[in-house]
Amino acid sequence: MTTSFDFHTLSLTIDQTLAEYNRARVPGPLGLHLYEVVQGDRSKILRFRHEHAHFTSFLATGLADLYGVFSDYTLALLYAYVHRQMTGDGAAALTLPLIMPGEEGSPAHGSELRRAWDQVNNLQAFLFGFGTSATVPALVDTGPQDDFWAAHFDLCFSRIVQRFYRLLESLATDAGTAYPGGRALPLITVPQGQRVLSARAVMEAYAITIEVLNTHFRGIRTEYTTYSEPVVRNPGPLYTAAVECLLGAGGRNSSLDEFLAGRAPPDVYYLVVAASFAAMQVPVVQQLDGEVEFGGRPGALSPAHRLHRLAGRLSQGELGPVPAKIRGDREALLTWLRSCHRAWGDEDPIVALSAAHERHQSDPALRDVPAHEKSMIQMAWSTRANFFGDPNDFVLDAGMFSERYPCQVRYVRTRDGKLVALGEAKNIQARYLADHTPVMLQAAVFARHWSSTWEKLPEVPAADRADSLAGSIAWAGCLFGDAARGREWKVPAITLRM
Amino acid sequence: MDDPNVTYAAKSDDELREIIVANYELSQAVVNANPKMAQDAGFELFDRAWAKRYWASVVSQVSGITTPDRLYNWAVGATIGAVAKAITTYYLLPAAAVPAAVALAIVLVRAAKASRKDPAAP
Repeated sequence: MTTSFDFHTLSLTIDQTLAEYNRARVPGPLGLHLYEVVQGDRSKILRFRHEHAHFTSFLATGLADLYGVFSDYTLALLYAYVHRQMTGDGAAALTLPLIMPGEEGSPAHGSELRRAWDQVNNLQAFLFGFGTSATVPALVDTGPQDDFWAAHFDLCFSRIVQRFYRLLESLATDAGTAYPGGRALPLITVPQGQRVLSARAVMEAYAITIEVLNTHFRGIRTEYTTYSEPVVRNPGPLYTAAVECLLGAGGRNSSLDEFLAGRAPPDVYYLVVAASFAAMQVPVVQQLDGEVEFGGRPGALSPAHRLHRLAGRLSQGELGPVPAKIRGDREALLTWLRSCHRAWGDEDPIVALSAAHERHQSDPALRDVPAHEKSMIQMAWSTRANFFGDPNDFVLDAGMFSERYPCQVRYVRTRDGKLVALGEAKNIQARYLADHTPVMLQAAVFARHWSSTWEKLPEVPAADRADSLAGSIAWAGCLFGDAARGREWKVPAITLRM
Repeated sequence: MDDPNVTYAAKSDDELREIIVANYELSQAVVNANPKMAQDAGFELFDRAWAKRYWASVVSQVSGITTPDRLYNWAVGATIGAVAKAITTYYLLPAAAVPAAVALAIVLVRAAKASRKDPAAP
C-alpha cells in the first residue's frame, strides 16, 4: 500500500495499521499529523510529508475553490440523471448502476450524459490531473452540457449550472492561447524528448520537493532510523515534468537525478517549491456564501500554463531568482510571489490571503469552528489565513506547523482497511455522506465506474452498497430540495446489478 | 536478450511499476485514453491501489470485452504476452515500449486474480 491524498474525498490513505497510526500520531492542536520518530521506519514519515504537502497546497492555493465548482457540478449532473429515472413512468424501483457497459451510446441510455460527463472529466484532467488529449475547443464547447440540460434542467440546479458555465466561459478565453494543433497543454523538451506539462506534474513538483527537502535536509535521523523504501525515488516522467521544466529555466544546470538525490544546491529546491506553489495559486476564490470569483487573464486557471509561462520568464531573466533570505524573510517571499502573479496578469493574490486572515480575526464564528465542523469553503479560508500568518513555513514546509486555524484532512484510511474520521462520532455519518455523495453517484449511474468507486471506499462492505447509494441519493434529494417538495418523495427500492 | 515475459514474472509490484512509469509513451497513452483516471487521485499510477481500481477499465479497453465475468476470465486466462500485445496494439505503442507493456500486463493480471480472492488481501 502507498500513502496517498485524495482531494475528491479529502482523505489520506496511510501505510500504517490503525494501531500503528494511533501510536504515531501526537494528540494536540495539530491534529492528524505524523511526526518524525527517533526509532523506526522513516520512509512512511517522508511519504506522509509528501501527501500532506498535497493537502495543504490544494487548500491554500485556490485549487480547492476551483475543484468545488466541479464537485458541485458533477453532483448536480448525476443527481439530475438519477432523479429523472426516479420520476419516470413506473419508477417504483431503481436498478443500479443505471447505465451498463455497451448501453452508453443511445439516448435512451444516457448518451447525452456520457458526452457531458466525458467533457467534465477531460476538464478536470486538464486543470487537476495528468492532462488530456482533448483540444481546447472541445474542452470549452458548451454543446455537450447544453444537450444534457435541455432534457434534465430544473431550477434547483440553476446556481451550480450557471457557475459551471461561467467557468467554461472563463476557460474559453484560453482558446487564443492554445498550443499548436489545439493542444490544451504545453510541451516541454527534456533530454529524453518531449513531455506534456500537466497540472498534476505541477502539484507533484511541489510535493516531491517537500519530500526531498525532508529526506535530505530536515528531520531526525539516528542509528535506529530505518528506511523501508529507497531514499531516492523517481516516480517517473509524468510526475517530474514540472521539476524538469523549472530545472531547465533556473540556470543552475542541476539534473533531475541530482535534484531527486538531494544533490542540487538549496536555492534550486527553493525555486521549485516556490514557483510550483505560485503556479497552483490560481485566481479563484469561493466566498463564504458560496459564490465563486474567477480572476486573472486568459490562461490563468491552468497550473500547467502558469508554470510554463513562469519558466519562460525565469529563463529570459524577466523574473528574478527566489530571494536569498526566502526561509525567514516574509516580505521577500511575498514580493517574489507577487512578481510571479504580475507576470500572469493576476490581481495581487496576497489581498485574498490577507482578507482570509482578517476575517478570522474579526469573525469568531469562523475563527472558532473546530476543524471537523468546517465546510470545504471554510477549510480553504482557514488554510489561506494560516498561509498569511506564516508564508515562509507554509511554502517551504507545506504548512506543517502553520496551524493557527485548525484545518485537517477529514478522513484517514489505514492499511488494515479502517477509516478514521475527524470529529465526534455522532456527526460523522452525516458528514461522510455529504463528502462522498458525488463519488457514490458515479457508481450509481455508470457501471464502468462501479469497481473503481468501491475500491476508493474500502470501508463500505459489498453488502452495504445499496444502503450507501440510497443514503447518497436521499442526501442529494435533500440538498436540491426534492425531499421538501412533497411527502410522496422518497428513494425507491434499490436493486444492484453489479 | 532476456524475454521480459519470463524475467518480469518474478518481479515485485514496485519493480514492475518502476519499469512502467519510466516509459513515457505508455504512461501518457494510458492516462490520455482514460480521462476519469487522469483526474483521479489517491494512488500512484500503476501501483497496487491503482491496479485495484483500474485493472478492469484498462483490460476492458484493450480487449474490447465489457461483461465483468468475461473480462475476468480473459484477464486470468490469457498469456502475459497476449495481454501485452493487446496493450501495445490498442495504445499504438512503439517497439521500445514492449517491456513496459509486459510489466503492465503482469500488474493487470495480478490485480484481476486478486480481485476474486480475498477482498481484504493487500
